[in-house]
Amino acid sequence: MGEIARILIVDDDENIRKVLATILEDEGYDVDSVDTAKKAIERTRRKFYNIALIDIRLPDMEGIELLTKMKNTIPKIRKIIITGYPTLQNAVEAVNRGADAYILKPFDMEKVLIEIKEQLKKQQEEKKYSQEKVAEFIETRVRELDLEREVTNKKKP
Amino acid sequence: MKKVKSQNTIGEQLKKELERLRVLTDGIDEIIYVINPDSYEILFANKKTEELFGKKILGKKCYEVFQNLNQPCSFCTKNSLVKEKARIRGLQNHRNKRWYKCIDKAIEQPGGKYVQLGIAIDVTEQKEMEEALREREQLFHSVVDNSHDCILIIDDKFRIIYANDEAMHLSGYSKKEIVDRDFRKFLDDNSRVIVEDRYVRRQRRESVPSQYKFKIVRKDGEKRDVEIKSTVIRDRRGKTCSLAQLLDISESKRIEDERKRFEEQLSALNMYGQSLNRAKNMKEVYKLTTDAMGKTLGFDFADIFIVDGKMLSLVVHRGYSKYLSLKLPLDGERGITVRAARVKKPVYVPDVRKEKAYVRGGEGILSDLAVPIEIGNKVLGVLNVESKRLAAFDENDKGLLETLASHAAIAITNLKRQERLSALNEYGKKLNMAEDIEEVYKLTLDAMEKTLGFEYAAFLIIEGKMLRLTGQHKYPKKLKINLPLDEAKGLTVKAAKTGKPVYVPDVRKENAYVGAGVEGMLSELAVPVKIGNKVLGVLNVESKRLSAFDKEDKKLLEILASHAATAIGDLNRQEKLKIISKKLTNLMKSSTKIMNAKDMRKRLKTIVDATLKFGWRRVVISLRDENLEGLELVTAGLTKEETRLLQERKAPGHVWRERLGSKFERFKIGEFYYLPWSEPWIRENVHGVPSGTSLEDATTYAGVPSKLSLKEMVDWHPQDMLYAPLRTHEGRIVGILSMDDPVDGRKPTKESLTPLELFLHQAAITIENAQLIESLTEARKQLEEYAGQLEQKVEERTCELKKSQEQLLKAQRLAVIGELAGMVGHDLRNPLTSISGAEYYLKKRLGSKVDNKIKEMLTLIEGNIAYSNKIINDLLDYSKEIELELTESNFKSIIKEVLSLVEIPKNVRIVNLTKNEPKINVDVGKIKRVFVNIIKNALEAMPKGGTLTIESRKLDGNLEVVCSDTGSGMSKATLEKLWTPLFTTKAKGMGFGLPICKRFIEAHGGSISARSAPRKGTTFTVTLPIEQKIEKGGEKVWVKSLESSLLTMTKT
Repeated sequence: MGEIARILIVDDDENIRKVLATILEDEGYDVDSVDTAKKAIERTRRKFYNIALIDIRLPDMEGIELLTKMKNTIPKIRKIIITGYPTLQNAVEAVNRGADAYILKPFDMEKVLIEIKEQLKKQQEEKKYSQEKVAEFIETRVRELDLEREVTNKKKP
Repeated sequence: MKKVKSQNTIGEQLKKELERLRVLTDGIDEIIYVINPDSYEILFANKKTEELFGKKILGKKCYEVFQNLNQPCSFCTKNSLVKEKARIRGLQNHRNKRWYKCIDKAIEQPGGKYVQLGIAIDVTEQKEMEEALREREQLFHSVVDNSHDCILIIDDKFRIIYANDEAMHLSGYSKKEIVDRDFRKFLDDNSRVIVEDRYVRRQRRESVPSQYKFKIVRKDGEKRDVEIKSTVIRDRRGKTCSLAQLLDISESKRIEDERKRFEEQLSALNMYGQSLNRAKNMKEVYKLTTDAMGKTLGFDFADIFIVDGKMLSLVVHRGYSKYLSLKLPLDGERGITVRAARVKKPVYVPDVRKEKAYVRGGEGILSDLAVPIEIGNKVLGVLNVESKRLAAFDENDKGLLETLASHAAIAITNLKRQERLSALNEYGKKLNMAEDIEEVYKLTLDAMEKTLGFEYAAFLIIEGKMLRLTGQHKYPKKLKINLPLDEAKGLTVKAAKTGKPVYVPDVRKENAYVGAGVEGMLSELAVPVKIGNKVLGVLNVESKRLSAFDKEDKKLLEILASHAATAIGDLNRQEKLKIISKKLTNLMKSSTKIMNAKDMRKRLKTIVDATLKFGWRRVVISLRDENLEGLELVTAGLTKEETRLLQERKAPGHVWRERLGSKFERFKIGEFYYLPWSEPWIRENVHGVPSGTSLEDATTYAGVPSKLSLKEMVDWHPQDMLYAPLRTHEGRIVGILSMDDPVDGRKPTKESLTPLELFLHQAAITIENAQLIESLTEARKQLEEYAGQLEQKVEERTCELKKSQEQLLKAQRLAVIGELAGMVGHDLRNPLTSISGAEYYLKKRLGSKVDNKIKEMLTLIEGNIAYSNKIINDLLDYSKEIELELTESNFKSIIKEVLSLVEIPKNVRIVNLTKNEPKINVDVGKIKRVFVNIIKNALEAMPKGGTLTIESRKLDGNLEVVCSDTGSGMSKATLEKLWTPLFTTKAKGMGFGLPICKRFIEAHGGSISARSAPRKGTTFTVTLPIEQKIEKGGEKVWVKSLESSLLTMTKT
């Protein structure tokens, strides 16, 4: 829609936050970063974010747990887990909890940017899809209502 | 004309008199009248007259009024009235038919006339009475005169007033001589006294019998007995006299006397009879009888003959002068006695001279009377009386003699019976002392012959299903008779089957009769020998006579049979007792033996041998473990072959558990289980016979087949099973005792099994003990071993402990290091990320505006970041616990992928000899890394090119991969440290590669080794097990097995 995508970075490492934020802002995104899960939950309540990059290890909560605790919006916020331990168990659990993607540290930045673009695309599509759905629904309903009105009008003498 | 005036005055006077008369006579209840005798006119009638004849009768003719006659009655005309005398007559009035006594009197009247005064007194009743009396007298006379009894009327002075005709007959005198004579004159002296006495007493008004007897003397002097019945009557004159009825009782008296005499004889006979009953022996009987015949009956010559076989012999005689001995054949013609015996009727010969058959017994005998002594239909003997007179005997004598004969018959029979009974009892006593059954037979047959007098006797015994002859008497040749009990042949069989005596009076009429080979047998009596309801045998007697046996014989034979039965029963019981006591003795001996035997097998063998002796042909003890599976057998009575068969065929544990379980409870006898073949449930469930098969068709069975035939078996079937568990005190089953083929062929009973229960316990205890001993011995051995090895073991253990300790420490250290490494590695990642990100940004921002040097520097940073990452990865890999994710794969494809991952320089030749087989279960990722590492190393060792050969093959359940290069090789020193972490010859790398590979491979349970020499190249050999092994004692490895959808899983 031409809006600027908003990304939330959740990581306890200051340097990573800085670097990521710089790079992403340079790409043209609107970036926010927090260092704790709690703050992340607060932020997502207050503002809308398209994407959240969540470190798997956070000081107050496991990143995976945070996945479920973040507020779900419409369109749904896309969550990407960042981790230094690649294990199958982790990955499965992350997906089960609602992660949309999974990135390893240290990043391959190119890959990360591509992934973000992908996620945004998907989100758009989703949005469009639901918007379409709503429009369709309204259309249909209106048509139905019209029909009803006609019928009742016909009945009048 | 008559003088009227005088007549009138006369008439007046008459009237007056008549009036006066009326006054007088009206009160009299008789007919009084006055009539004119000339005119017959009624001048006066009193009240009564008027009542009877009517009031207006005056002046009428008397004959008219009174008599209804037309003229005067003849009486009046004939008898004229006379002055003085009264005229009396009796007449019947024609009118009322009543009788009157008429008294007429002439009453003189003045003037010389007379009137007739008449009184008619009604004498009808009197007349009737007189009439009746007269009639009675007439009757009396007619009766009395014609009476058969002599009737006399005697007055109180003994004068005979009247005697009827019969009196003449009785006395022999004429009537004239009787009547008016003194009655006493006709009596004999004794009677006179009686009569006079009687009379006197009657006079005195004593009560005397009106009937008594006396004797009269007839004209001819004959005395006759007379019975008199007298009644006292009064004659007309009021005098008493007796009406006597005399009855001539001479005849009846005589008969009476005779009867008395006869009665006396009879009572004498009965007395005799009673004394006979008390007679103790035959001699006494004979004596009493002859005494009776002589004394009581008055027979002078008397004798007694007795039937003895085919002869009639004289046993006693009385009255004869000399001693006689006489034996007459019964089928001969001689002897009247013989005839009497044959025809069974008394024979009377009034004149023996005329009788041919007469056998002379004494001198001068002229008449003979023979009476048979018989009882029932059987003639026992003959009573014979003789007399020197002709026709000396009459019906009475015959009767008396017959009575005597019957008494004698009874006495003789009773005596005989007693003799037989006592003989029987004697026999019974002897029997009780018989020692064996042969003696019983002999004694019985003896008794049958001697005491009971049976000629042809036989003793038959039931053996199995046959009736066999065991003893015989009097038969000419030795008989062999064996009759089947289920057929109809033989009367003895019939008796045995029905349990009742069988008597055939004529065997010719009986189908079932079996001849014994003797000609002429006509009657047979068979009596069963039985105890209670069980028939043991039959006693049989035969005779050449028809209907030779009677009730008596049957009874006696039955008594004999019962004695025999008791004796046989006792003997059998004795036998049984002997056998049992023998068995028990054996048992006790065996028990002792068992105690003495030392070893379990020996003891068990003793037990089975003892059980064998106890009456079983095959005995087996099988030892069982706690699941009732068979361990070994101890047998007796089985061949080696049979023992082997039994071992093979033995049923598994669960079958035995069932056989000792609740379903079989009902087959228990004590502790034994007896499973009869005859039970269909058993056949189905134990022997596997399909249900519904009949007993005859069933053929399958469990166990070893029996050697014995069905014939030998009484009620045990060869397929029957008998076993008992051997239980310890705690109830644990250590074995099973089973027996087969009883010696006596019988089903087991509680009695026969209870003694063996002793063995069960013994055997169980033996086995348990043996087991205990074994385990004890084992334990001791082990203990000894242990003791010996203890030191060694302790040392070993200590060493082990030390090693374990070391390993533990090592592991701990490693673990700590691992953790540390993990933390370090992870923590390093974050700064790396930052640096990497920053570098990226710089690169991007600077873009193409940079010069080469800056580009170079940036690239350097990039590379180092990657390198640092690798180091961290390696470190982490090495330090973390290995988790294997196994999939089935084949090596060829793994190597293919590995080769595609590595950059192969052009100067290196790859020789790929990897194969698809064998398939392996590996963590593919890790294996790939391993080989990437190896191949990379190999490539680095050939900077100037070379050949890299990769081979794979199956070796002993492992996959062997050999990787050899033609590179620079390694020195010995390098080889030694190859697997040590942190050792590297490279400038780059921390040296984790190969150690990690080793760990990976070893985690799979495989091994990796290297061989090398400087300038000779290097060969790496990797072995991986095909079957997944988990290392013990080293690292803990978590293994996760993934399923591949492409391959089938093998079961583990």
